[in-house]
This record gives sequence, structure tokens and C-alpha cells, in this order.
Amino acid sequence: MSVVVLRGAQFDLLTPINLELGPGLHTLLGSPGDGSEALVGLLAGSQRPRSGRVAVGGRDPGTTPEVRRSIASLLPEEQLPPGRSVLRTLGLLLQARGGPDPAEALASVELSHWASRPTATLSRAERRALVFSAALATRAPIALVLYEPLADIPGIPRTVALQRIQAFAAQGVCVVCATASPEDAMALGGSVWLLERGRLATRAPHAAALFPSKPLRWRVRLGQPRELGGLLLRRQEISTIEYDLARSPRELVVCGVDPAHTALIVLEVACHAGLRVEAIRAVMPSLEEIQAATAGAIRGAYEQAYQQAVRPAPDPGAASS
Amino acid sequence: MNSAHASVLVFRERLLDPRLGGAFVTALLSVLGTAALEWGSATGAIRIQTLRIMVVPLWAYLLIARVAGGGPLSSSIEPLARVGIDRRWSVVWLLVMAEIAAALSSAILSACGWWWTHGTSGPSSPALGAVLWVGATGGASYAALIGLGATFGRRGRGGVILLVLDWLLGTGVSAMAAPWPRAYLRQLLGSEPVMGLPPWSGSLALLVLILLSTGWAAVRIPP
Repeated sequence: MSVVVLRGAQFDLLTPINLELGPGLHTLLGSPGDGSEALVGLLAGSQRPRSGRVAVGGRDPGTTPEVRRSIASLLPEEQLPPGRSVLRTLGLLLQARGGPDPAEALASVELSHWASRPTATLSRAERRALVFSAALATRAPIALVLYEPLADIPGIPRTVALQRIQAFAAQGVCVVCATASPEDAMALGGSVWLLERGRLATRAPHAAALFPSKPLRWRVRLGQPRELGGLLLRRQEISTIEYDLARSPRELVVCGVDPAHTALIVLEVACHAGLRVEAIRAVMPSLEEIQAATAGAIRGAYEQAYQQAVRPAPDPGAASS
Repeated sequence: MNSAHASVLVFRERLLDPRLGGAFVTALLSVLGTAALEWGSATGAIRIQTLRIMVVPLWAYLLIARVAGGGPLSSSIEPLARVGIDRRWSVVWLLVMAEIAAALSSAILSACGWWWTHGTSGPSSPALGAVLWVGATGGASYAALIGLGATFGRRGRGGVILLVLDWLLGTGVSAMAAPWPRAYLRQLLGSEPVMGLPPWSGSLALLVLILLSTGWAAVRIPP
């Protein structure tokens, strides 16, 4: 059953988009320039499409207040309703939805210490955090539509935000998160739609499936990166080592022939040499790298299909002779 | 919470702005100042009336601009519309409250000008009741017109265009002057009637303009 339906919906940077999303977690991976802001605005009912149709739970959120009441949303820019303190402002947002006690909602995202703070002192990011706390406190929502829920949200711990979002998805709510960060897309999980220049380029069952097939790189942080780099150069399994003395004097970026074993090789070498590795983590491909790889894959598939279509059929006579 | 409650909250917050109070005091001082300069002059009351026709639209513009928060009229209600408040009804309530505020404040401006010059301009001075009525209907009709204008344009600047058109076209008496409050205000203050209508029709025309502008603004905003 589709909860969110877009039929030829066009607005701002978006080309006419057709999309159907059911219950569960869906991530829209794309930058604002790709139309992610516009798409979130349409789904939240704060914008109306120039053409086409948007439906959430079967009705247009742009013209149906009852539907908007059941959509928990977070936009890139948030204005707050009048209210002198954070608690009062959050109370207004929750009161309109018939939600829980605002103090309870603040406590659930570890923002209780904001309660008496004057609303006028909140920064842009803090306003988003407050609206996010209201969104997470929505009772029985039809859908959650969140723009960058894991970034630029001061005060709310990332793990808390992630757990709450995934809990909604697990309850069967349609959760749509837009992000420009492949790392956040990985953390969120769920199916991923790649947005590129206003259109949906492709869909993948999870974020890693969109990553380019080039070897994964590992960022290693330690006290003696040059020593480790020298030792790693002797290993055949390591293909490249990047070291930037000026920008990251305590970091090495290592790329191995076998991505899965590169981290183990790094740790083994460091252990033998008695070097203490502080941190090691995979370097995510950037959004641009993912978009370029996807565009290349689509073009490759198109050319292959074209070649097959125009290739002359084998001559049966020649085959028999 | 319903749309009326939401509108009251927004309107109260927007009205409690010291800058708006400062603008009202400036408007009042300009009326009283002109009255003081014209003290004892036979044309004093007429000059005050002329000034009022200029001050009331500007005051109504400032009021609506403050209520709209510098953007389209619906933007002030948008944070609550996102959580399920009806935009259309909220904007109607907001506009009605702005019209009442503009009517009251314009009536006060008019009464102050009348009181200052009362008795100095002899029989040409109108009755207080008429002055209050003209001030109130003038203020409300300008608030409605500029409120309608604030639903046009990305930043709600349509009010400026309507105000300019009112100043340009509202001085005539032809059919071109018919949609503009200025024409009927001038008629109520003793100028030639628009399209030869009877003198009493000015008040009725202003009330119709208020209703039409408010209704049109409501139609333009989705629920």
C-alpha cells in the first residue's frame, strides 16, 4: 500500500516526478540543488506543485489541514509560532496536533534544559531542533518527512534521533528522510532514492548498493602516520597511501586491493611495529562520486542495450556453411 | 487549537511591536502638527482631511506589513498551518483583526485632527460622528486592500502596487476610480462623487470593497 504518491509533481528545481512510497524508511539522497528541499516541501504540504499531484494518505497535504496534522515534518528553514519560551512554543505546536505534554516531548530528546529559554534566542539550527522534537512527539502520524534529520540539529543526540526515526519506521509509518550525506544515508538504512538535478536517478535497496565499485578507502588516525605509511608501502595488498602533512598531520588515507581486508592489514602492521592506532574508519564516497558512478552505470546500460538493438542479426546461411 | 485561536496568537504577537507603536505616534504627530500649523485658517479642516487621506493608507500598509511579517500574508500563519491549522480561515481572521485595528486607529487619528481644529474653521468643520465613520471605514478598506495585495508576489509586495494604483486612479471620478478606496473617501469628504453616484453611496462602496478584498484574499489562500 502506498502512503506517499507523487504523480508528475513539478516544483522549483524538480522535473515532473512519479514516486510511490509505502510504510518503512526511505532515504532521498541528493543535495538542495538536486531538488531535495523542494521534494520535502511538497510532501510536508508547505509547498504546492506547479503541476501534477501529491498525496499523503490519499489526500493532498497542501490543501488538507487534517493531513498536515498527521505529517510530522522538518524543513531546511523553520519559523516558529509565537511563544516567548521554548516550552510555550513547543506547546503550541503540539496543541495544534493534540500531542503530548511539551515538557515530556523535550525530555524525550534530551532537551529539557531548553524549556525556559526565550524562543527569540534560538539560532536557525536550534529552531530546527525544536521543530524536530515536535515532529518526533507526533502521535500516530501518517508519515514523517524529515530534511537532514541527522545533521545540523544541535542538542538532540544523533543516536537518539536515529533510534526514534527507526522506531517509527518499524511501527509501519512511512518515513521519508532527505539528506545530502551518504554517511547519514548509510546510518538511516532503508531504501535509497538517488536524486540528481531534479529527477530520481535510481533506487537501491540500501545506500551501500549505490556506492561506486572502486576500492574503499580507510582513514587511519595515529601519532606516527609517517612510520606506518613507510611500513604499509612494503605490503603488496596496499595500493595507495595518501598523507597530507599540512591539513591532516595525524592521518593516513589507505586504499587496498581487497577493501574488506585493508583495515585488518593496517592494524596488523601497526601492531607489529608497536604503533598505537587511535581510530580507523571507512571513507564514504561523496554524493558527487555516487551520482557520477550512477550516471556512468545508466549510460553503460543504455549503450549496451542500444548496441544489442542495432547489431545485425546473424545470417542463418553463413552459420550453416 | 483552531484557526481563530491561532490567528489571535499571531496577531497579538505581531501587534506588540514597539516599531509599530512608533509609526502610529509619528502618524498622529503629523496630523496634529499640520493642524497646529493651520490653526485658525479657514482651510484648516480641509488640509487635515487631505493629510488624513495620505496618512491612513500608509499606516494601514505598515500594519499589514507587520502582521504579514515582511512576507506573504499566509507566511505568518505557516508554522501553525504545518501542524494542521487551516490557512484560509486563519488568514481571514488575521485580516479581519487587522481591519478592525486599522479602523480603530484611523478613527483615532481622524478624531485627534478634528479635535485640534474644532471650532477654528467654522461651519466647514464636519460632525465628530462623520469624522470617526470616515476614518474607520477608510482605515478598514485600506487594510483590506493592502491585505489582498499581500497575497500576491513571493514576498507579498502586491500591496505596494495596489497602493500606487489607488493613489493614481483613485483621484478620478470615472469608472477607473471605482475599485479604489481613495475615490470614495474623497467623496465622503465632500469631493465629486464617483460616476455620479449619490453621496451616501460612498460608505456602502467602502464596505463592499472591504468584503470583496477580504473574500478575494481568502480565495487566494489554500486551506
